[in-house]
Amino acid sequence: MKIEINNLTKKYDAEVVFNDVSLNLEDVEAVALIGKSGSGKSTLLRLLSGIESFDKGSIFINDDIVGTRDFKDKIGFVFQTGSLFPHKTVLDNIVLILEKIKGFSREEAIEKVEGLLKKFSLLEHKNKYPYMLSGGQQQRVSIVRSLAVDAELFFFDEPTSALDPVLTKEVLDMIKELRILGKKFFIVTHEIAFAKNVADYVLFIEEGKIKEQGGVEILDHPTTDAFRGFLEQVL
Amino acid sequence: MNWLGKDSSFTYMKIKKALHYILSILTIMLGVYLVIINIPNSELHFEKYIPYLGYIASGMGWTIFISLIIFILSFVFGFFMFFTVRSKVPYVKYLTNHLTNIMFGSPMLVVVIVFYFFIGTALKVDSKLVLGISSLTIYFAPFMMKLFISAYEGIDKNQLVVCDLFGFNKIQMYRYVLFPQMVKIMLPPLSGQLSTIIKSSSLLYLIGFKELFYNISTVQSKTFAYTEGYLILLALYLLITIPLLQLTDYLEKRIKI
Repeated sequence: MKIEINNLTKKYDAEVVFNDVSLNLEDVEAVALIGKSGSGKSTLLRLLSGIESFDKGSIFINDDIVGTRDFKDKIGFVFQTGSLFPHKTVLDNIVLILEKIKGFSREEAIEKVEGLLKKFSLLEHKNKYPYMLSGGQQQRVSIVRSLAVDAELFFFDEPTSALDPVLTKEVLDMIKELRILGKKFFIVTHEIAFAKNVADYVLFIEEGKIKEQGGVEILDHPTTDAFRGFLEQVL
Repeated sequence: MNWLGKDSSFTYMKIKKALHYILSILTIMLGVYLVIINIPNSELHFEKYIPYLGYIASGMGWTIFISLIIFILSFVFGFFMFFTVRSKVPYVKYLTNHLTNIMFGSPMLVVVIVFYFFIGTALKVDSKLVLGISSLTIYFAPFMMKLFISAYEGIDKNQLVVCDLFGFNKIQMYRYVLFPQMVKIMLPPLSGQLSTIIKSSSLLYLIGFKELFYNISTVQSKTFAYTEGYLILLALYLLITIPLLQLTDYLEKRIKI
């Protein structure tokens, strides 16, 4: 995956979140965005995915302009909570999109979705509503939903921050599996051990700047005081 | 440990509940009775109303019919206003705000009279049905709009982002995702709204529309049985509204999401 950020500036009213940030990366598969709350890491994720607009600069991922329809068709976004449609069952959450938006016949859609649910051990929950599922199951269903539309690039915004350790593990295991399936992703996470395990590039963000970046080895050998201080706090 | 055993204690609870229910209804009836017997010349002659049963039934039919029409139209119009409030054109938004302020601030009675005697005359429309329905529709639409707004606010906005990413257009997003959820959130206040409309439709007697209240009033002036008329009126309105409230309770329990 190729990432190109040129002179990115993002403001919320008067507050400048990112000022003239640039980044050029090639051949990365899974990027972890790490930093304190309020550092701007989630905002950067939203900008990279195109779900939020910026004031100046440009972002390209694999030469696609971020935010275009073409780009949106290739990505999946998983929020901390609440991205499933609460009034639809697990099956219908996904079939709705395939059938009404992507032009599948109902039979084709059901077949595809049931296959995916089975693959990720979620088939037994297909007729349940989101509120009947655990937080971890909800997150996994929302990953399956993006897989169903053949998303290649995933964005995870602290996907496990609302979960207990057991549920966290099942979600993280599934993200690992995505990696095996050849999917690329960006993940905002506080799970340093997981980032080490599954990411191949790390961005440490502080006060709207990429303070430190590199392969996962920088998690063991931070060079800046800020990053070292942060890692000591979370580990 | 109850000496009656588990089953009988369950039956006992049921009987107890039923007794309390009957007692509560008797209390209300006693209240009504005490009021009636203290009215001078309070011998009741409900039989005076028998010749007019068809007339009363037609009034009741009209009340239900126009209430449903007003309910549906104000729902549609309120939904439309909900969009104008979120419009990017300030003119449209201000227009809705003015209409809302006027309707929230005016007595319904005044709105009905203004519609019939002024707007109706100005537009050369004299159908009581059209003017009655449109006055109450305009009156209730801003209230419906507020229900739509608060229902919309109750929806997790991440879903809007999800819809956009998956390629929903605006209409698809409302049709498949937002609208069904909004209606579920709105169900309890909507039933309140419908019973308010049913009760308020009695105001249309002012313009001589032959709904329930008007027809009973007519019979009252023919038979001079005023007390009976009001009691029948009360009973008939309750006959319409109470099952409605029960139905909503039931639907609310059925729909959990």
